[in-house]
Amino acid sequence: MKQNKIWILATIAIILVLVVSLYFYFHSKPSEFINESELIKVINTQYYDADVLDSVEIQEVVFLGETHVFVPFVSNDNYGTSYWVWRNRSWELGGINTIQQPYVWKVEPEDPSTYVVVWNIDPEQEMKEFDIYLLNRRGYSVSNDVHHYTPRVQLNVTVSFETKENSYGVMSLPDEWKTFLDSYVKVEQSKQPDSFMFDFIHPSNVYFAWMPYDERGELSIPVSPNGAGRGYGEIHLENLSTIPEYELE
Amino acid sequence: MDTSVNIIEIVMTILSWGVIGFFFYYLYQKQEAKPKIWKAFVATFVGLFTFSFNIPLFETILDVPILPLGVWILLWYASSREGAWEKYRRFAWLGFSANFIFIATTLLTVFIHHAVYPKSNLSTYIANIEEVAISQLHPSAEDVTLDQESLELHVSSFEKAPVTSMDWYNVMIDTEPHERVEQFPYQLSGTSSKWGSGIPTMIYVEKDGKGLLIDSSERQRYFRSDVTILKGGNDE
Repeated sequence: MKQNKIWILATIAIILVLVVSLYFYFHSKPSEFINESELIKVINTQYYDADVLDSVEIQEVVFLGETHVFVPFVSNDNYGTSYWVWRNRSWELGGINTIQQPYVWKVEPEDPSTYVVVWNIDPEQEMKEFDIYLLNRRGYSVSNDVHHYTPRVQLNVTVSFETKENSYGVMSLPDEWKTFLDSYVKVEQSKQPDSFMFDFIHPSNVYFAWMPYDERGELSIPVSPNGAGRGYGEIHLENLSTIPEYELE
Repeated sequence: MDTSVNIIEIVMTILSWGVIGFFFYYLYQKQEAKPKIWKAFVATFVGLFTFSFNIPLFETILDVPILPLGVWILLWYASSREGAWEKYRRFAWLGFSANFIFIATTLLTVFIHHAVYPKSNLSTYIANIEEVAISQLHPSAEDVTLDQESLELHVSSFEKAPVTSMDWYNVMIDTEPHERVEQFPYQLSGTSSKWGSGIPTMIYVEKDGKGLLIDSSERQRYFRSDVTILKGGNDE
């Protein structure tokens, strides 16, 4: 009987130690970020062009919290952005892009205060400034006499691109946007009874857009001749399209 | 203070498990040929498993059991063991019946929630007004601020009104987009619903400052008053 008890205790102890160590293993704080030459190597493998090799220049390494890193780079005159996340005890490439447009990176999708607008655009373009928009479509629905109205939301903030020192940028959202999105995300999340089934939140209608302008204030969309993007489905990156002028209120 | 806690739901969940526990105890005491207690537990949990239909009712979802799958599994398991079914039968069916206890408590939760947090009172959604702020959501919004005094004086005068969503939408449909005036161009923030209600809110303010459209986990609510809670803009 005594022998038995010892065995049970030993088993419990072993299981406890295993669980605790596994927890620390997968939830450990990130190590130092990958060094530059390693970064260049990974970025190079994303683009097959042989002559692109060795021409990658890392512009900066921007930490967004402890586990998310934004790395703008120039590769053979192509301006690009890359997105890194700390997952399973290593730094993984979440996405990489040389398409000339801004993105909204929802670092923690359920917390809009972590959302950032990022870009890396060739300074030789005609574009001198751009507007970032937060939009929601006006809509209504009636079912079983239950009315629902969605007000139009249209907010914008101007980024003076030509006065910026760098071709890239990271901008967190204005406070009013965060306040709005915070309420919006919480309400939308609570509307889905099975929301715990999905670990990512997708607000139904709210979206981001942008409008690039040249020095005359005319729409001037930067071209991306060799632009290509790749996502690995582990990050929440929203690409911004331009809005037809007639849709703006 | 975490406002996302739905206290009624928590209490009712504990209560429903308490009721099941009570019946379990009652059956166990009454039974002559007692099974091992943990086996009776397992039988109850397996009995919970059913083929069910989800019926949306009263803005919640009811899980109505149709086929007692768990009971069948136990029956099949016990069929090869003499006397086993006699021992576990009651607990298996207790598990199945527990689904009805859940339906009852879900309905009770809705009912009590409505009684404690009346959906026709603005105070359910706006429990504190000390740090309320107004922000613009649309180009047609004017440069207004919150009239704190007016809000404090008149917050209780807001009355429930029908959500006339079609009218608000259609009134602008023939207007050029850049001339459209949004009916609800402001957000009221810095407040939360009553403690324990667990209702997240998105509060839109009408352009005249006399109406509040509240989006939450349930249907939208609309409240009107005769007095504006905004100051500035073109009204003054």
